[in-house]
Amino acid sequence: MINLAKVLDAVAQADSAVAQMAQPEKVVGENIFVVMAVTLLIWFGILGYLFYVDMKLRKLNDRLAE
Amino acid sequence: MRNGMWWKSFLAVWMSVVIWAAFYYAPRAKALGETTRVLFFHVPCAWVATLSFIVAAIASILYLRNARPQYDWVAYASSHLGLLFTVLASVTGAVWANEIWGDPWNWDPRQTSIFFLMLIYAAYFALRSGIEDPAKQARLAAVYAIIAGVAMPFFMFIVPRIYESLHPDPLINESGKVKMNGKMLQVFLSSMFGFTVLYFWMLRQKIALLRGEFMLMKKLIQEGEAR
Repeated sequence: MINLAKVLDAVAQADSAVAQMAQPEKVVGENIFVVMAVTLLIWFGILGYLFYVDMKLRKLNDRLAE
Repeated sequence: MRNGMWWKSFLAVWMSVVIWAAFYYAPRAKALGETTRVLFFHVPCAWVATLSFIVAAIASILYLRNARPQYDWVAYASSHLGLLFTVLASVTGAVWANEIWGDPWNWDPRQTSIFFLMLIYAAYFALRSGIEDPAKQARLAAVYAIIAGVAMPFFMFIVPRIYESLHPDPLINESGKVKMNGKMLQVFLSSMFGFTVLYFWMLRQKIALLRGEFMLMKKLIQEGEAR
């Protein structure tokens, strides 16, 4: 009976060790999508601003031409 | 080429090459891995924000001396761009911090100081919108922009160097030396140049808009007087 408990305990420990090994450690700083997100945020921010200014300029020119 | 198209085309090609070089030419720093490349976009944003606030302060001083509306337009437009680039630098910094520090915002001295800087310049626009008389608005805004311009280096350069920070060494670090690989430095300086030209283009556009609004207002007043 004692032996069976020991065996079950050993199996459970082995299972958790395998589960830990199966999960790869997170590598910090290797996520290229972070760089992509940063680049896109900046360009969309600048483009959005330029479109906003361009739209206001066009409306203004139309009003001045009236 | 018409209407300065040549330098706009040059800027488009230049920035395209910078983006390519940031991903394929520049090596990675050991500790930061792929996220090293964030440096080529995030730092120029912070630099342009600093430049914008300096230009706004200088234009405000000139306005107080000459009271020409052109200087007020420059100060207003430059503060607008400064705030835009400060927000871009903060957001992109938070995206990077989430990857490296595991948290997008942890009140690091650099994050805290940039947050205060954003509040200071947001208040500049609140002040402007709260005054109706254009001359009084421009005069008070000029005084505020000068005070904010004096406070800006304190938040941008001094506070992050007084307190312990997780932020990587800035380019001009405590030792006074540039610790950067040669290729990285080439891409970095090219990006800084490109962003600076981009800033002046955006500033020109915004000033054109303010001049147009001024002309329209003048026209409407003249029409009202004629009736």
